[in-house]
Amino acid sequence: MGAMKPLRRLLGLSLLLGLWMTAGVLPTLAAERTLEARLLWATDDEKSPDPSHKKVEDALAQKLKIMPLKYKNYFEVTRKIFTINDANYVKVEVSKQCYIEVKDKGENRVTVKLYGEGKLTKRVDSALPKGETVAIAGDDKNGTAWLVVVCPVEGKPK
Amino acid sequence: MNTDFKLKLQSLVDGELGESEARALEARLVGDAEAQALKAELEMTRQALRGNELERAVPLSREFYWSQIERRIEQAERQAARSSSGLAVWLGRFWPQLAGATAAACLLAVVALNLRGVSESPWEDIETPLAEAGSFSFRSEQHRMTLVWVSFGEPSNEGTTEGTVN
Repeated sequence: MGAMKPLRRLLGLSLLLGLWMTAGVLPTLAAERTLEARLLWATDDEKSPDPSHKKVEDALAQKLKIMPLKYKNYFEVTRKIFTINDANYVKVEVSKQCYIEVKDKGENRVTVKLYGEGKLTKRVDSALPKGETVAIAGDDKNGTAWLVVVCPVEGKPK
Repeated sequence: MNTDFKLKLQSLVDGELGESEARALEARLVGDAEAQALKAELEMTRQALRGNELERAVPLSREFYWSQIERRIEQAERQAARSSSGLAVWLGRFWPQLAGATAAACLLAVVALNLRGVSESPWEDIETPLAEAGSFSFRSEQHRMTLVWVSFGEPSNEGTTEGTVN
């Protein structure tokens, strides 16, 4: 029984050390993150003139419904899955005229830079943990709009 | 008649003054009607208190009464000492578990604080480098979505519904 006491203390210390290390190490492991960028076209029309455009009907459609936008329908023009890191900006082309650069800022934060026709149009620093969505949008021709939607990929990327 | 004189008068009534001092005060009282009236009042009050004070006798002997108080004090002291030593023994036995539980609680607190920080302040900065472009943003905490609307030329909210954009 006497030998049990130091053993129990050692166990307690190990547990304490383990928890401390877990708390310190976990954030540093998340240096690379997989995100998804989607270029959407917003319109009141029921169909897109481009048959390759897919109507957005998933969870994103529900989120877009509560946004203060007047459009009835959203069509997915492109979708890109990409991995970001905290060292460099990763360039993702969402269309011929438009691309984004994304960098991991650590602690679930990202910087998204939007370029239109080669010019930096918008830079957004935002928290982007799982379940969070950031969209940068603007007017397009004939009362329509474009949206670049960025969110973390949940589960395995397809 | 000042306060000192009044106090002296009180001392005289209580019989606390020396013989010569009492005589001197009595001599001073002869020509002072106000002081005489005060002395008479003080004497009357003293008599009333003495004559009407209720005497309550303890139904126990003085020694027995104090021994009971002493016993109670000792008992309370012994109990306090026992409970503090019990806590020390308990802490000595279960400190590893306690340390583990405390560490886990601290870790949870750190995680909770981090999560709270994320939900409370999702924005760090929005920059619009183009001079001709303007923007505004809308955030839904419930749906965890942030929309940044960029407009070129004249600031416009053509694509948004009125009154809901902040």
